[in-house]
Amino acid sequence: MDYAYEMIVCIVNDGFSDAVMDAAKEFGASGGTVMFARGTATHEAEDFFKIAIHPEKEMVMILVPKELKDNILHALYRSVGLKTPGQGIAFSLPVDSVVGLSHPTNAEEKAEEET
Amino acid sequence: MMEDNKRKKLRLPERAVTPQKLKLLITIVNKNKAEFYMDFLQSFEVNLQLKMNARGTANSELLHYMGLEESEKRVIFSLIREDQAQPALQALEEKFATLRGGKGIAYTVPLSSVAGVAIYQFLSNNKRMAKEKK
Repeated sequence: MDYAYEMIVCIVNDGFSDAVMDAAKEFGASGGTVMFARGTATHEAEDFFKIAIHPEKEMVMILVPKELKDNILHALYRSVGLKTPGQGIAFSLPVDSVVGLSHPTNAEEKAEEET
Repeated sequence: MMEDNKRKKLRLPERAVTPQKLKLLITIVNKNKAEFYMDFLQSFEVNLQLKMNARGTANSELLHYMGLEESEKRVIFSLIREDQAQPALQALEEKFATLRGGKGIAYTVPLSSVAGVAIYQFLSNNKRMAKEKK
């Protein structure tokens, strides 16, 4: 299946959502939505990996055309990845259809040109 | 033809209901319109909806300067049957365009699996399937 958009989900420590958006905007994302969440890692895993899990998290959802996805995921990994104070993880989900975006995106413009 | 062969192979009865897949419909709207959109989505056979507080981060400096920006958002997660997803998105798009202060974004993410038959029946609002089981 070929999807035009991807939803990037990035879960970071409390207070790092601005850093996430800064990194994502650098690679073409226009906006995101931030939700508060609580992490639940096991204590054994925390001891084993020698990291302290800060349970308060922020979850950022960013909707992007799929061409931008790889760059943004890399940028997130570099700026708020697990080895940084943000201790973030990021992943993306395919999005079948979107409504309500205000700016026509590259994908749509291309489709219009073709017709 | 392929379907027929598949059915024979699996020994499914001819009238077996092919289950429809589910999708996760994510709707992001202004805080005060969340209830409206949740009610609205229920008319698309949505049985389970979750809503949560969120904050938008789009850079609309002009709006901010004019004090018009509403960054307090609600995110609504709705589990919707595949065949209802497109009508729901189209209806949402119309509401986004026409409703005052009702602008928003909506998109769907396909689900790959669901655990539990009863849960699936509930989420897909498949009353027929639930009845046959009884």
